[in-house]
Amino acid sequence: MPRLSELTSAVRARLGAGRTRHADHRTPLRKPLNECVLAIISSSAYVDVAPQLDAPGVELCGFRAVSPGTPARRPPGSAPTDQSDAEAADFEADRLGVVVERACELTASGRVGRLSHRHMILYGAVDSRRRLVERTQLTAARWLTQDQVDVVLLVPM
Amino acid sequence: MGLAAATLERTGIATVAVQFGREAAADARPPRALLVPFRYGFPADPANEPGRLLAIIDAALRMLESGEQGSPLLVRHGSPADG
Repeated sequence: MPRLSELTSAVRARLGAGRTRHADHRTPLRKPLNECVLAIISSSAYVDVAPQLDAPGVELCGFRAVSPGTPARRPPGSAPTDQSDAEAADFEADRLGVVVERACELTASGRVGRLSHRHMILYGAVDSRRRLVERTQLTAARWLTQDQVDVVLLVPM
Repeated sequence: MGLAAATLERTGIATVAVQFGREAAADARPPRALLVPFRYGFPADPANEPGRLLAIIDAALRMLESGEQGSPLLVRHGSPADG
């Protein structure tokens, strides 16, 4: 049975490793980009954009709930009614779905091999750091590995 | 996002982030990041320019292909290193 001091050291090392220097490890591309599977992770709160995508089979997976106070999505095709609505529309248009659409264009042109069928919304700011590191991110990594993803593009929103 | 990227890198998945400003990048420390001079939440400000967003995503992907090292690897969008 481990002693308390050993457990404390292990926890400190783990927390310390998570707090700093996490940029130090980089995985290189193992094959040309035009053979890679690309997935996108965003912190976007919208999860209802999938039906708007011209990308059958694309799935958006949110790890966290939509933040309280997030405005409802405008009906597709409806025009903004005032300046604030126009700004909200611009904001909405720049969400994950638009990024996925551009990525679809890159696959269509042959720049990227294939788009993953699953993209993720990682709304980590509302979560505890430990939960984020030990559960949420590892779950994301497992899903991406299952999907044979080679490259992830992260776009904070 | 930096923490998420680091977790993925350790599992063998290459990552690149679009980041809003060097200060935010210094705090988040993503393994690779393309710095864009836009408002938070608008990676291709203004939003309704799909061509610009496409160029930004392409520039971010070029960072993966460059194989450059550094810790962290940060490239400002539009700089010579961005191509």
